[in-house]
Amino acid sequence: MILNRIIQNAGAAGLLVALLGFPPAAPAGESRESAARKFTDIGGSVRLANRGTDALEVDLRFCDASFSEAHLALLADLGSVAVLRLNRLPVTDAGLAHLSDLHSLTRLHLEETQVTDAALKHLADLPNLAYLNLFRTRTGDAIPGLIRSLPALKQIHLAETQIAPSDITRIKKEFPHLAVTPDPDTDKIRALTILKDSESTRDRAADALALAEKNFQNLHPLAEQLKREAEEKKKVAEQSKKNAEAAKKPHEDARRRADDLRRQADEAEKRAKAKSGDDGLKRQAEETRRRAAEALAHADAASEKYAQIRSQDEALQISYRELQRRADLARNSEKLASEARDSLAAAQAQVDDARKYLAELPPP
Amino acid sequence: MKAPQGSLSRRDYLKLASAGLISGVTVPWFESVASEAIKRPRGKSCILLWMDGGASQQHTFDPKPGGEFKPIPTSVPGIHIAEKFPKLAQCMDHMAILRSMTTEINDHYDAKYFLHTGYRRVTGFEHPAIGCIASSEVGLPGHDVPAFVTIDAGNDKGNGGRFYRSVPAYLGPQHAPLAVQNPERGLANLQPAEGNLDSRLRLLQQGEERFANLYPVPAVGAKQAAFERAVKLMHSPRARAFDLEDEPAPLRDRYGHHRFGQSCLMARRLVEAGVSFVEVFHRGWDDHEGAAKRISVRAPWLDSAMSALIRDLNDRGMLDDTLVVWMGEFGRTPGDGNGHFCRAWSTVWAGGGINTGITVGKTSDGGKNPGDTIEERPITAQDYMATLCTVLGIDPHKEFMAPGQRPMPLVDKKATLIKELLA
Repeated sequence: MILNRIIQNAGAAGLLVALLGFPPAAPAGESRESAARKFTDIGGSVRLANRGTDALEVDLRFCDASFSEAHLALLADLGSVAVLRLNRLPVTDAGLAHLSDLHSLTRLHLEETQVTDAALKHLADLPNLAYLNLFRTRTGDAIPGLIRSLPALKQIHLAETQIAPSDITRIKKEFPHLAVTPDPDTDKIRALTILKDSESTRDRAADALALAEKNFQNLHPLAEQLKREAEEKKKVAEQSKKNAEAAKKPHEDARRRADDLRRQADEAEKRAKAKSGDDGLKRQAEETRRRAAEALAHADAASEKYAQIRSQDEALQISYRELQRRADLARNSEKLASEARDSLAAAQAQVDDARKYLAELPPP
Repeated sequence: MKAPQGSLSRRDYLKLASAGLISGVTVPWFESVASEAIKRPRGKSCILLWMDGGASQQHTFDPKPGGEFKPIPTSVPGIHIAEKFPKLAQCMDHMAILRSMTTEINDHYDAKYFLHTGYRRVTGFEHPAIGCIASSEVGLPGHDVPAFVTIDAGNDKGNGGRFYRSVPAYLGPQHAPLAVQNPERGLANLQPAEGNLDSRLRLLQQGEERFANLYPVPAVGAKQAAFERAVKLMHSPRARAFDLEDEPAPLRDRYGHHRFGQSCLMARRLVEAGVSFVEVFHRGWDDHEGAAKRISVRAPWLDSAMSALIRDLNDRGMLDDTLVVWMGEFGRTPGDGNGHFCRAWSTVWAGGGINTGITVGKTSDGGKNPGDTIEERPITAQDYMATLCTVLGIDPHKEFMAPGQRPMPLVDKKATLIKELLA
């Protein structure tokens, strides 16, 4: 209770200041002080609306029973009140007259107060009011007129007021950037979004089913035949794989031999160079080099043959796998089609739900 | 600040002002009136829906094609949630799904501690829980309703590890939560049974005070704080916030006649009454025998309660000022949801003036085990806590002097804010 202590000090200090002959207090500061004190004394809270500004948020929601709307007259003394919360307080049309000059007000909470249409004229001259909450008040017909007079208004809450839904639609058309709650159009946009999304899921499911059924019709009668073909192809493919593997060894051996000979030739040339003038060594080196070249040519031929066999084998494996896939598809086509039918039914149910929800929305 | 003309130097003036001598007379007024309270801007309220035991992300807000629950469209094109939540799908534009939580701990109790405090549990030191932090930093000081209330929404199934209770630790006992055991009964024990209660309480109080003066230890202070708070609440007209009978039947229906739904309704009433942080916990999400079957049962009431809460807050214009958070201590293994899984899981935030209608982060769709890795923007427990504090108007960098002269930041310094959420 620092607050109380400070306030008590304030009284004593006032006396002291008078004795010391200080100039009298600035009246504005004093009346602000005293207004803030009166609000806090009855359980209200007065604090900065945001860090770094001196605009205030006055929250009177939690005032005790001694609150009366006469207290609202003190708001003018507080200076720049940006946010005012009066939710659920016994505030009537007469009380709202005290707000008519709070030009710094940006946010006003009047939900569940006793204000009516007659009070809204007091709010018509608030140039900065961006947020207004009238939830569960007996206001209605005067709301559109009020909105037209509030240039800064961005958000208005009108649930459980008496405003006609057609008025909400009209306001929305007139002020497209104003957020209105409740907004039957928003609900409708949501429902339409969901409907559209469900429909595209349904359409994809329908395409998938069409494909599955086509497969079923085309492939299912051929299932046995495809299976046999696939089995035969499998044998051929396996043989081809063996052939390819058998071709691998000679090609590798030839390559190794060529490498060995090349190394021998290199060494022989090195020796011949070390003992230059030794014609025997030189001839031996030339002979080895010639044999190495022969072996290399041989190895290249073997490699080419092997590559040929392999590419044939690969093509065969691919065609076998494709055939196998078709055979599997043929065998499973019935199951797949039935799964696709289930998916479509589920997607259609979602579409129906979305349509039903849309139909049950209250009419605008 | 203007000094009185020709009388005092600025320095002397400040000295006098700080001694309380001049305050309230000549200085600009907010320098004097309850300056602490006034300078602290009002924060936002938070309703934390805690799925104790860890809810399966793939059976709720991160469904995978081919998973046990199919994805359904929502009110935001391109965002899909599990098929069991059609009403929440309609609220997607008010929600943000965080799909890339990655939080290190797979053990129930340690994970609950980690996700409530932002710190790993250690021996011999206690960190304050987020609700207590909110109470301390943005709660209405001296308000007659406690700033932090927990509501027990019941137990769907045993298990889920030891229960975590929020502890204010070094923030002080006045920030401990008030616990509501059953929303249907409210604070049944709060009604005075006899007329002369006050005089009896005064007598008790005098005895207590004598004791507290003789033994000035923290435990006595804590008891004293709880006692004073209870008496204050008992006398407050706002205690009615705990009584759901005031609500119209159609609205109670909309929230659903499950304890969880009625808890959500009470949470809204409490926020209206000035409570800063409400934690509704529902136990039983530790689905080791397959998440699909159990969540099929729970989904309808979670769907009704959470969607009704979001819509109700929105209708009342409270949604911008109230953050709704849905989470547990971790997610479940991708696929059947049998095991604990802290590597890649989801939480949901709604309202609170954050950016909504979005997903943050992404888990894998393909691979051997879809959803087992994070593909975009991992969110750690510290990032999460720092962002939560920031949204609520709490400075996550604020340091407290914890016992042992240990300066303690509210949130671990290595946290980075989830910028995508901040409007």
